[in-house]
Amino acid sequence: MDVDLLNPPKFSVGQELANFLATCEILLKAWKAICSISKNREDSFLLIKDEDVVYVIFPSFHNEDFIASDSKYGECNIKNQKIFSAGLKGNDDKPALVHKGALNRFLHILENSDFKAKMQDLKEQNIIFVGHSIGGAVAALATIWFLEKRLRNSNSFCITFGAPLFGNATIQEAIGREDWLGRFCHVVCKYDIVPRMYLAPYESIAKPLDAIVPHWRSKMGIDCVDVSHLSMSEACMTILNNVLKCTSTVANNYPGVRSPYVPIGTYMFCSTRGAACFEDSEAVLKLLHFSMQCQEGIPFDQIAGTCISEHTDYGCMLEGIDEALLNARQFANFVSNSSFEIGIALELEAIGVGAQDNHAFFALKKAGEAKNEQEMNTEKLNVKLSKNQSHMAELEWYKTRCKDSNTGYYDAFKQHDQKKDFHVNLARTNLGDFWDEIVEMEEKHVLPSDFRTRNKWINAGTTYRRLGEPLDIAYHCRTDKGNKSFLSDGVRPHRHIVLEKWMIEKEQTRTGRGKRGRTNFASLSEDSVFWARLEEACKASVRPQQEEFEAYVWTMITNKSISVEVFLEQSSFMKWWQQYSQIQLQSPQWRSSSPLFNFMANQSWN
Amino acid sequence: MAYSSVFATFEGQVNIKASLVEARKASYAAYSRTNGYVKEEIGNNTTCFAFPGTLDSSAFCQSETKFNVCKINVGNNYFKSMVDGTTRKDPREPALVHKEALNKFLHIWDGNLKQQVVEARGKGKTILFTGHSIGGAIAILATLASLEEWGKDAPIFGSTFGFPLVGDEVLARAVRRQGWANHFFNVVSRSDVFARTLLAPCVSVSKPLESLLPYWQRSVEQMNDDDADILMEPADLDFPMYLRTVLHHACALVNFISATNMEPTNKLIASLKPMVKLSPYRPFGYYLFCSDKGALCVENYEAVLPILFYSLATCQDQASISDHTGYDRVFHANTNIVMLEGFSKLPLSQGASTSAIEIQLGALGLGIQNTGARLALRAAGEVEDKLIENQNKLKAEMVKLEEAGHMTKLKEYRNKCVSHRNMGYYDAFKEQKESSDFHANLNRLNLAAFYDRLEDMVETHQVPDDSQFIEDLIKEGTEYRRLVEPLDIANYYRLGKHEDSGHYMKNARPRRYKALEKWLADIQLKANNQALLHFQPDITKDSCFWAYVEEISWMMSNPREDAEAVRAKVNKFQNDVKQMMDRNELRVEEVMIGESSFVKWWMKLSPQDQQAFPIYSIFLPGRN
Repeated sequence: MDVDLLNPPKFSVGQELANFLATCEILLKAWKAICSISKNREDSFLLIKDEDVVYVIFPSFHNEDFIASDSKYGECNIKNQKIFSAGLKGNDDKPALVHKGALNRFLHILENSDFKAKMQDLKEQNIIFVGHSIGGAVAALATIWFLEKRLRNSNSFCITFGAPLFGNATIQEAIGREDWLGRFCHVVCKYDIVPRMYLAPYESIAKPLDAIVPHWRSKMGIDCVDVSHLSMSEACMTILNNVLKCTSTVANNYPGVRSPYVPIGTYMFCSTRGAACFEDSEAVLKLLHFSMQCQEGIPFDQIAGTCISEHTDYGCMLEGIDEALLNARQFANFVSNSSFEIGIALELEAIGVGAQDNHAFFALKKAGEAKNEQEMNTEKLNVKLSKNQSHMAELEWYKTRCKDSNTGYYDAFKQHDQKKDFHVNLARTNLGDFWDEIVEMEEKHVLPSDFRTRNKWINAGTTYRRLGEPLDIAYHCRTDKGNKSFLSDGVRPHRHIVLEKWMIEKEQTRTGRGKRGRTNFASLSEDSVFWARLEEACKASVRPQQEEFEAYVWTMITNKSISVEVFLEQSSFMKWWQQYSQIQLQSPQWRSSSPLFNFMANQSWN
Repeated sequence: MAYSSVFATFEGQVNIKASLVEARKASYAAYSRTNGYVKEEIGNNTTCFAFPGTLDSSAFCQSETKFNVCKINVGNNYFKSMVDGTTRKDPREPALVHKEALNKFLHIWDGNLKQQVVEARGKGKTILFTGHSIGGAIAILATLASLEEWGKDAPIFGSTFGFPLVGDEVLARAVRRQGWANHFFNVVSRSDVFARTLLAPCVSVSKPLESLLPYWQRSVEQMNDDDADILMEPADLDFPMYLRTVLHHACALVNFISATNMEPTNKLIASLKPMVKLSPYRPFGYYLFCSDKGALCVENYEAVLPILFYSLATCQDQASISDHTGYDRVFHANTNIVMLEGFSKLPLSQGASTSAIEIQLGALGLGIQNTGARLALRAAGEVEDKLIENQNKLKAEMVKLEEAGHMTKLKEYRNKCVSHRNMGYYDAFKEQKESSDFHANLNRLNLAAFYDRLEDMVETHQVPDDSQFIEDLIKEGTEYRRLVEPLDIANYYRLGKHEDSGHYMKNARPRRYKALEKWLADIQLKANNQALLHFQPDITKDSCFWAYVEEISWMMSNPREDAEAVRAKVNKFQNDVKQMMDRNELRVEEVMIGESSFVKWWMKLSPQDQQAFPIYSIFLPGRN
């Protein structure tokens, strides 16, 4: 393994996480609770309190929910339902897709049971949503639904056993943006067919499932039916064959149509030798294939049988792991002096794949490096941000000084006839470069997925945009030869568009805390493109457009989100106002009906 | 944390191994006394107080809390500095300790032990507290109470045999912060299950301990008595089950800690943390892990819990009931003690040498074949390395800041405002008229960036708890706070931020200033440092003075404020100002210059008030 690592992390933590989960008792409690759901609760949920934690349990739902047949992989748009917020979308605004069977089941529970009322009582508590099989997917949706309430004093977590993949890359992106990925833990037995099942189109799994589901139902103690051994074993082989074809396509990146589903959250793979956790979605996708792959010496039909039996065997699996762990000797049969590599080797040994599997090893190594790079980039940006404070101070200082010349810094910079204008231009371009870099990094996914929702960066970006963008607009007006519009001709720098989007998205998630009304005018106009709108209004020859601008200004005045500097004597705004009011005054109604006229005539900003 | 050298320092003062061997003997001998402890003289200059591990199982196991802890200040006032050190939490929470150990300690200490210790100290004796089993916890508490009394340089030591944990993380950090960690020695046998029992919830082990605790007590008593019959092991005991229960909980805790050490930012761990109640006990001091090959000495506290777990887990088959009472066999004058250091560099798969350290590690089940354990130890080492690295980085930054001369420039700015502009630098900065104001702002920002980082590093435990660095820096830090905080206040009110976010003192004071103020108070308390307490700088002492002025001025001109409340505030402020004046804590030449914000505030007062508070004659007698 002598490949050069760019930024290897110090450790890989998957083994320790899994060992902790396996021995800290919440998994076993959760599984026992699932098993305790009796026949008559088969289609609903159950609450169990234990110490300081409330477990919300969803049963296996081994019924028609499994197969959603109106799309190739059973997926549907989560947005059609009013239950989830509009924020559950991709960074590129693409829709979030989830499995329709699971979604329908969750909606059914939401509408036909006391679920909502019960959840209402549970705020300010630790809640763990738990589910087995398709119930796991329901538990995950319930968790998202609950997290979207953003209750400040409650803590929620999701544990699934043998759950199928339930959502696409878009919803994963949305969850990552909110920094919720660490709240999902999916326990997967090495051979359990269900977690990889939806990587295959529904038509290739529907028929064998007809034979297998009754078997699972009787295993979970819901029904007691005899399933013919022969039809079972045939169904097992068919489904394994069909699923393997698809997982190998995915794992090896073969071209072709792919299932939309991706792993979301941390996956804990279990084998008779131990367990290990993995959080990287791509790597988990590969492991879903590698860990189920046929191994030499084990006949195919035996693996096929295990693929079905392990789905209902989580209790035994967990107890076995606990037993193995207490013996406490985890030996990596692997030569390296890097804790990180040895850690990966131990993880692969524990899930029965083996460190010799190069595909799996490198997938995990790459994932670890990528994550580490994100952390390191964030640290670098932190340092740069505080260095850039001096540029921001320069802009501030420029703004303060311009006020004295009765124009405001926007117009001063537009004229650009003094030495100080030249100086501030340097600060302006430096800041522009800095934020361009951040936006580019975020778009290249080399920053943590929740970076763009972190308060620190939202606030810094917004302050920068409000202070800096007027200068960018002024620069454009001064240098523009082609008479291009800042707003509609693609002149507006990408960074400002993105930073504004981040801020708006973040504000949509800030519930409860209503925006405090202002008593004084803002020191910086909240709309950073105010001046561009003004320039456009100045250029506009048609009246409606000008009137629209008047209305816009009035709104800003009423909520005091406009900077008082706009009203300085020599400002472009005042010039526009003189011309505009001259024209408008020709119509007598305007004078009496325009609140802005009143405001301006009385100089009410003072 | 160059610990071998620390170890050597005390080795010079007292022969540690010999003392510990004597301490072990005294601990066992204590069982035959009835008054709760024995006092023994070791050599000419050491007085040893030993506590037996006598405790009935119901007291040990029946508890309202899962791990039988209570606040260390319950029913006593002996442990004032054993509180949460972070200044972000206010008031500070006291440490948690084992409840029964605290009860027993208080009973003995308030009995007549305290008096005995005072006498021995009076004779200039070295004090050594020691105890076997739960007696060890009592010894630790006695040591803490004594150090609280006599300070970190006093020759006072605590040792335990078979009971290496007594309190939570708050306690462990507080001990290190006070610089006391090297006063504690914990001897643990590899196969002693009871030494790990606090890692499991009380209720899970109450059944086996019902028969084990009396059995162990009797077996030590009999060791002191040559004629005693052979003791029969308890009949109804499922010892392997007890062992497995303890290991099971230890396994969860140790993996949790290792995962945290390996990846402190892990999201899954962060989400699960409030959901699982793991044992709160955390180590401090030196640990000597005994095997049949000798004893491995460890100071890295992150490594202690992993070693406690892995060393026992790998010898389950050999562990027996008698190991808890077998310290005479595993720790004696011939025991070879080896210091383990450099955890982050432990070999993983190659270079397994036959060095003394590897022999000890192998004998504890931590050899090269136990990759999982080795990774846990490496992670513990990385934590330690990272703390040192962070501290060094901060030191280097500090040097750079000094080279850049931000403070010097700000001092010049302050002087020039008075001499050239006839105004205090507070009001000058608030005006932001001249380019010197802008440059002052740049200097302010550079300093703020550093102190913000410092505050964050210290408060989130990213520098060593016992860092001397903070103490060394407090003088500069205080100077910085007094010089620069007025600029932050000026900036805040200049931009009208109080309109949006409330007043500076209540809602906007940066954490860096709060922390610097608290650290100063801590150090003054800890060192009784009168010099620091009284250092009278050439600057207004209360760095928030201008924030009070702004707040009260604003209140007086805001018609929505309640008139009586304003009245009360005005009176209070006048009194405060007079007091500051009397104590010479106010720099009049800045406060009273020209039309300062303070003078402007005074102008707002009614003529009667002005007469009652004649600032010109108070502050500038002789003029006017």
